[in-house]
Order: sequence, then C-alpha cells, then structure tokens
Amino acid sequence: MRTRIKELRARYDLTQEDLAKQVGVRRETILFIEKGKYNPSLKLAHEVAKALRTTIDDLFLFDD
Amino acid sequence: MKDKLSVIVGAGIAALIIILVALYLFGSGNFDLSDILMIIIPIMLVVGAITLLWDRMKNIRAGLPSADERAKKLHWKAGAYAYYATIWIAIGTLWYNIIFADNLGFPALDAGQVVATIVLLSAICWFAFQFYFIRQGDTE
Repeated sequence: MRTRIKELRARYDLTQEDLAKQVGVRRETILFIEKGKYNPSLKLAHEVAKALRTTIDDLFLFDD
Repeated sequence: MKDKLSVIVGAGIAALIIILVALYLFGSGNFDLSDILMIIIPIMLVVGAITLLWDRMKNIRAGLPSADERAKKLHWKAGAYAYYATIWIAIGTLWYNIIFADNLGFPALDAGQVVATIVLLSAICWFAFQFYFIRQGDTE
C-alpha cells in the first residue's frame, strides 16, 4: 500500500504533528500510515482524508 | 483530563511500589534468591511503567493523545504475545526442575521461586514486546 499523505501534507504546509493533532492520533501513527506500514481503521482513514481535503480512494493507493 | 489523570494515578502507584520496596529492604536482614527476585520484580515494573508514563507525558505536552488506535492495538498485541511467552516460561521452569535439578544436580526451584521467575520473565516479555511492536508498523 502507498499513500499520498506526504504529497498532500506538503501541499497544505502541514507537518506530521499538525496532521496528528487534527485527527487526534500520535505523530508516529501518521508516520507509519504515511510510509504504508500501518493500516488505519476506516474511521481514521476517513479523518486523515478529510483533514487533507481528499477522499480515501485518492489517498491510499493499492498495487493490485 | 482523563489522560493526565491516568498518568498521575500511574505515577502514584509507581511511587507507592518504590516506598514498599524500600520498607522491605530496611526490614530484611539476609537476602536469598527469593528476596532478590522480590526486589527486582517491582523495580523492573516501576522502571517499565515510568518509561511508558514518560512517553505518554511527552505526547500530552505536545497536545497529542497519550494513546491512539495503533498504540492500544499494539498494547493488546504485546499482552497476547507475553501471555504465550508466559506459558512457555512456566513449562520451562517445570523442565528445569525435571531435567537440570532432578538429573544433573542443579539447585531445584521451590514454589515461591517458580512464581517469582514466571512473574519476572513475563513482565520482561511484556515490556520487550511492547517496545518492539511500537517500533513496527503493524500491517496485516
């Protein structure tokens, strides 16, 4: 799984900590989601997508 | 508020354990293996608890939650792994008494020492799994 979190964070000038505060998780959780090393719950994925003004489909990319 | 309260309660319990260990140390004369384990176990638990509390406080100060879905999930995963490890440790102490103590002349562990060993090693396992998993991503 790949994500566009880093790209969208840069677009909106958000640090991992800023995003973590917005969605109410620890900074490391954002780090691992961003690297594709942690599968977030649907609720958290929705929160992250909302904070980055995009959709879950557009944020998380799967290599099928 | 709930996060801060849990940190305060945790710190209070840790302080209480340190006081109890200090009282135990002052009240004891000679130390044998069981006494040493009785001191090491609470000290290890307190050190582990302080490390976890420190990590929580760091997040609270930064305005982040002390625990989130990933932290909670890994906490329970570490507990499950430590539980399996504890079963094997218990079997290991049984084998030790049968193989090493009965046949090879090593000192046998009495019931108190077995319980202390299991508690000590399971606590070590829990902290070790916790620290290992928290550094992993956990994809399934």
